[in-house]
Amino acid sequence: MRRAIEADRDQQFQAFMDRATQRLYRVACLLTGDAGEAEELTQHTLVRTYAAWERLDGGDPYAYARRILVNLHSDWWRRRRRRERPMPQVPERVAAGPDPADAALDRASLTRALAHLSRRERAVIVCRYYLDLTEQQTAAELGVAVGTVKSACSRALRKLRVDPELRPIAHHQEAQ
Amino acid sequence: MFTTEDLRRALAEAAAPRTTGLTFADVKKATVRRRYRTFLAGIAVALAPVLAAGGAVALAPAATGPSPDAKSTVSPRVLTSARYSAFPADPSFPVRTNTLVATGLAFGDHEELVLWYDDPINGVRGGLYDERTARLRTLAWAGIRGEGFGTIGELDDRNGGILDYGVVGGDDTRVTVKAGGRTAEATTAPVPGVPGHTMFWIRRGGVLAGTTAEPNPATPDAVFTAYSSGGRKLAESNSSGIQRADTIVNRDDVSRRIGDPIDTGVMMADGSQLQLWFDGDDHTALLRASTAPDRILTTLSRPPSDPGGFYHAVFTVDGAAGGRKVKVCIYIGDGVRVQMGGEGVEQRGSRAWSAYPRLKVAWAKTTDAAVSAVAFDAADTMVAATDFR
Repeated sequence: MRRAIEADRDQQFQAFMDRATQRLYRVACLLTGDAGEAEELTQHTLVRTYAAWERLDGGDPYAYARRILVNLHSDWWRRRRRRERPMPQVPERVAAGPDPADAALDRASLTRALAHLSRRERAVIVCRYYLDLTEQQTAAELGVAVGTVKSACSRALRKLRVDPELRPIAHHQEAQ
Repeated sequence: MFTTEDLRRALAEAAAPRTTGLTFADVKKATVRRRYRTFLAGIAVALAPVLAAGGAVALAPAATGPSPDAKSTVSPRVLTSARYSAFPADPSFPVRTNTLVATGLAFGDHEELVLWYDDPINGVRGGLYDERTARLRTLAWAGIRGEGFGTIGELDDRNGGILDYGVVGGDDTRVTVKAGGRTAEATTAPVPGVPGHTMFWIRRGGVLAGTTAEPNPATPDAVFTAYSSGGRKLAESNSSGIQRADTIVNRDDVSRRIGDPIDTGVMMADGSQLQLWFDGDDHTALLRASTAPDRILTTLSRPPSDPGGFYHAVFTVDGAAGGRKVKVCIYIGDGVRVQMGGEGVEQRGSRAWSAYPRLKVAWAKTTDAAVSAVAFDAADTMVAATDFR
């Protein structure tokens, strides 16, 4: 009986992972700016979500996992951001077709610009403009006041608007 | 970046190509490991009072909350002669070496715990300062927070005690430490130049946090409580916020040279040739450069994790001739040589590490411009490439 319940839970969780893993990983990439750390953060998030799966009955598991991810990142980042690790697979290969250099440059520029923001500012930017959460939802996600979200967002946008790392993106947009 | 719509689009475009190979099996395995660690931590917590009874050192009795007129806040003694040499990993965050605060707490025979404010992102950091040589070895960051505790650093002082340091939000904040059933008051000082924050430190007995890279280190037995100057309770630490801070220092002290040094042939501004080498212990290898031997470029496990591919980072060694820098990267796999490239590259090379020949160290004398790297096999076919992003 217990085995049957566990098998059912595993099946549900696998289906959840199919839907949510890549989405969570992309949020983690924007928060950490590092593929390896993002993968580790995503895995820890999923482990915690899996452990809490039975308590989530009827709730929104993606929202729960996303909140864990954002808060885990807040707790972890100072102690983990200096660590590097080998990539789990052979990384980018030269691809045929359009030169991927421009896209890579944009991606790297944005990653570096986000890295110039404080932890909270980065989390607010990702919640507001990548996850499209409202200020109230962002505040709930981060466990802070709405006013804190507003001020952090305003500061972050001010920094991004003058960040020299984002000039290449502006140039590309001008050229298009 | 012009509008928030541009930002939305840029974020979406930056995230879209990212994919992970995480599977349910990975998550399940990690869950089992986590349960096992929790089980061990539970055993350790159960044993903590027994260990603490035998290990109490200098924990002075104190009231459970500080009285408003108690005075443990000090005017910081500032050190100005320290030479910061270890881990200047990110030159965009220079250490303010003129604001090192001496705690008066000894580490080993010759070093003293010092604290300083690093930058608005990383906050307060701990270090070990040797007055004889003016050498400073860095410990973990304690962070900085408007409210509550940042990360509390904990280390064995090698004299039979435990040192803790950290930072807490608020001016004139008092901090007590309860460990092994006794309570003591930590020494506090304002964070130099950063109003609204208080740094603290204490030497105590009890049980030292375990050494682990996991987010919840095992068995910290201390509970830190912050009070306002009026005696109001402001915050209490939790176990996940206490972190062992001396792991790399301990490894550093027992490290030995591993494998042969790698001569790069790159001339440095001081007339020397840049040499790279690994040292470490049976479990860890630290990559170092001859121009800044106290600095660790990166840390590898031994034997290195060998999934095949580039180590996802590029390390910078300053001080090459002509005002240039040397960018260094690591590749592990079937490739026999690695070539770094990019705008401004003047000289480059790669060499296998004799202790683990599948690991190649590659270097390029260049400017601040971004670099990439490609690995080739014996037939000169490209087997891996990265732009380190």
